[in-house]
Amino acid sequence: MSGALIDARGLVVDRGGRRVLDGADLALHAGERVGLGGANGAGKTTLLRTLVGLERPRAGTVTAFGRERVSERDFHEVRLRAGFLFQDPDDQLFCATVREDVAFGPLNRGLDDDEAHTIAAATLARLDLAHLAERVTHRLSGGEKRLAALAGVLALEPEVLLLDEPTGGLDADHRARLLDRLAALPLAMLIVSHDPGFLAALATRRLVLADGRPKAAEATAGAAVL
Amino acid sequence: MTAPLDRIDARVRCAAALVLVVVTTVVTSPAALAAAAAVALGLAASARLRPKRLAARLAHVEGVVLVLLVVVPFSVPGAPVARVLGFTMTAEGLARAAALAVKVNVCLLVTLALVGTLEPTRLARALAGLRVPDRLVHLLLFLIRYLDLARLDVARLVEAMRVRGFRPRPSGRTRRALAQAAGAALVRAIERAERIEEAMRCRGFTGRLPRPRSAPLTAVDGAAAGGVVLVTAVLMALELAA
Repeated sequence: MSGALIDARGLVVDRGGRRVLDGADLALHAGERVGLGGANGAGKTTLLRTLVGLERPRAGTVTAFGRERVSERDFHEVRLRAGFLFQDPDDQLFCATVREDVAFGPLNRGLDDDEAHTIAAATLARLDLAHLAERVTHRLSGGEKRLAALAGVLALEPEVLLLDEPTGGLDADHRARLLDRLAALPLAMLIVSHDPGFLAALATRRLVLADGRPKAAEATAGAAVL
Repeated sequence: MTAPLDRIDARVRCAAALVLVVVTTVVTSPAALAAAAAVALGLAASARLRPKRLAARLAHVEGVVLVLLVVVPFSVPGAPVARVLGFTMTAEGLARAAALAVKVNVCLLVTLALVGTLEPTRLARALAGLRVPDRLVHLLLFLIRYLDLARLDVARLVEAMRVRGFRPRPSGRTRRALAQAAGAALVRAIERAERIEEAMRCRGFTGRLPRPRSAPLTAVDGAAAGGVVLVTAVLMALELAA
């Protein structure tokens, strides 16, 4: 398929001596929000990691933003354009304050301090998180951490979002807020989730990862499969 | 709550602490040491160190000082003043022991007042501003951020053991269980570190943290730096006059 933002073909990945992905194909087009389900250990996270080069496949190719990506340098560029929200926000928030953490990505893109902090403030405001800016990251609640981590990813102004279990550990209120914010973003997304309601509200297309490959999920059976 | 010292830039405070500690370790004359002690007490007062916490922190070191006070008078050659259990105590030894005790406490007070009262993050930034190698600054920053999480990980492990009825006893089984818990804590910490590094790479990290902007130095900072120079000059003059 040409014109895909991310197009992975025939990915084979082993982890811990087990074949996790076995000839997996996945294409993500502009404007699409693809929901990816599957059993625990089916390889959903591994698939996301492979798309941004944190995992190198034994076979298969990753084409992102029009170029095949092989080296760490290739993937560095991919990561700046495809934001990855990790399962555990504590892995992602490492700066002392929220504002510094959100500015981290822009600074890595080579912006100076003022520009980066302007972007950080704007990103936080866009997510209604301006009040968290000066808070110390490890004292945030679980829901606040998740939203702050999302702000850190969005501050890179990515073209694609890769979300790994974005609703994990969120209460109903924070889950609804997250859903709101994500639905308002005009980005292509790949959403790994066990939350059928969340995927139903957000995804434009549903896949289930089984036997090492993503397959189209039947619309009606979606919830049952998950 | 803001102490007078808080108006001084953290970089100036770190550099001042280093200078004063070095000068204190160099001087030996009683007059210079007395002056250094006065400066240290003055700094402790203006940093509003709480006496209780200060005492608790000093207590860690006073044990070592005590050993010095007992051993040094007998191990420096000089004019004998007394004999204890066949060992000769010398006047020079007594003087050296007293000087050491003063030096150790002065250095501690100065460091606690100038550096110990800084917020850890502010300290890390100050060190970066003073061109301390990035790696050391990163170590400090990550320690600040993740020590708490590591501690929570360990606490969760211990709780998980306790809710299944584990009680430490002097037995081989207890030792094995504790060893497994320690191993698990270590593995979790390493895995967490790997995930953090990956998360950073996902946001474009290539091995260098952006240096935070540091505020320009003010007149207060200039005055403080001048004060340190003056103190150093006075201490050295007292030392050379002796």
